[in-house]
Amino acid sequence: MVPKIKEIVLGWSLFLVVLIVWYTLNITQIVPTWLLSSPNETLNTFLKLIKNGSLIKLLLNSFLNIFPSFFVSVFFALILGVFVGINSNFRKIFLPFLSAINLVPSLAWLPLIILFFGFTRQTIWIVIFISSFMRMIYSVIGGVQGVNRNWLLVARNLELNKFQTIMKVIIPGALPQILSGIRVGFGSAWRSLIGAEMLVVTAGGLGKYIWMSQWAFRFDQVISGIIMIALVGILFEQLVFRKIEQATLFKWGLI
Amino acid sequence: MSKEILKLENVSKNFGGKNEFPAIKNINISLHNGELACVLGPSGCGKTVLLRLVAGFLKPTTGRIILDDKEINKPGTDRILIFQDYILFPWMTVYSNIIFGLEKSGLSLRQKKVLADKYLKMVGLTKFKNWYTHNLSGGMKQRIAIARALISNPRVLLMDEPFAALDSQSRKHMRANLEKIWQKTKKTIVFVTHSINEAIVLADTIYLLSSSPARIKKIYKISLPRPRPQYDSKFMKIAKDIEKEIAKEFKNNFNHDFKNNLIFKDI
Repeated sequence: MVPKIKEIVLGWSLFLVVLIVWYTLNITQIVPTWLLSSPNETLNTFLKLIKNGSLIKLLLNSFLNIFPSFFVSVFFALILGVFVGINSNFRKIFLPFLSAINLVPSLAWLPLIILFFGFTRQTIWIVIFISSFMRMIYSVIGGVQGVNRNWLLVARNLELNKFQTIMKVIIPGALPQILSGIRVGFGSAWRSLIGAEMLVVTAGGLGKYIWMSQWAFRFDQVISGIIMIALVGILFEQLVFRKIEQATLFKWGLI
Repeated sequence: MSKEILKLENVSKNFGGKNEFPAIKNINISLHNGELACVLGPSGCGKTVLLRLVAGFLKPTTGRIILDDKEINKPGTDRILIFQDYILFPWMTVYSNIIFGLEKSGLSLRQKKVLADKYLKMVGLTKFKNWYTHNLSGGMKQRIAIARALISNPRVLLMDEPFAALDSQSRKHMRANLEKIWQKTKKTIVFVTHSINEAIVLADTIYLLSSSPARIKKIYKISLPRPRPQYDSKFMKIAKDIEKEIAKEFKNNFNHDFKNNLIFKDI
């Protein structure tokens, strides 16, 4: 029990420090109050925005900007990752290309994409796709290449065809890395989303809200938006990904 | 004596490109239907290579391997390999692991279930059928692997030191288990081991291999009645005989190394 309490205390300690610094800055007025609103004000704004539904609406809008594209990227990263992982010619073709793109931040593509698609949701979708795909593909390739060779021998011994081997042995065998890839990919997509929404404001969402609040000097709203972004990230981590891991890897004794 | 089923004719296997070295040289083995043959040899002598050749994962450099009058050239469900470390699929239950052996059979789910129940019973794991494998003991895992192999109805079982990872108690238990399963199914088995006792307990025929390259040094026909107690005088005599042969082999190898100054070169 005591280690558990210690973990909680240590885990919250830095949040507390930030809060204390924030209060201090506010009370001493080192930063003018019209610039930095107090923690209390910010909390009130946050709760108000939740209550009147505007934060939820923004969130739903952001979900619409991220999820269709994220799911598509999971699908393609899985397919391409498996092929590149099992076939050396695919590796020779794709790896140099992928490692070149990998070094470019996904937001760097934005001007180019806007040129073709304008300030639309499609533009954001494409950025999200690049962002999450590039993170996931390496995990999938690594996972597929790391699959126990003897599992593949068993599959060959039992005369499974290529497709059966991929579906029944390679993908489940690589699942630990695939899941961690999806997790990292989602984090990456979520971060890119906010950036993209700040630039493509016509598509709405949390990023736009933060950006526009800045122009109105509403830093209570900016911080409310940031808190929302962090909360949603944590929620996904804890509810979705943790649950998926428990239903698979944990049950199978792989972690 | 029943019909010949598996035959290795002058099988050799070399590895490496430029500095090719022989792993196996001129092996001749012939098994009749239902025979349990043990291949006995020191670790690293090429026993695993021999099994992988028969399984069809490797191709012999020279020589032929013949199963039921047909030359082997690829892996198939007529020869199932059983590994030392079981190689089960942790994402499948015991039941699913076993019916994985029927993946290419095209049987209906109901037919698969009937067969699975039969082999679950044979290896004594009916109670664990819905368990995932990571909670099970090594002996249980190997029994799953044996059931997965048997369910696909192979002509020959190829067992690669299947009990080497187990503690001595479960090893004994598993030998008895295998003997029973073998008597029930009448399968032909090639059983690779480095344990002299294991070979004598199980084998109809023991092929004693020399090391690097693996060659057949001596063939023992064991006709002791089963089950074979290890402290029986006849048992012990055979064991001593084999030990002597292995000691001779070791000495030869040592002299060979000595003559080539492999050992003292650096001093």
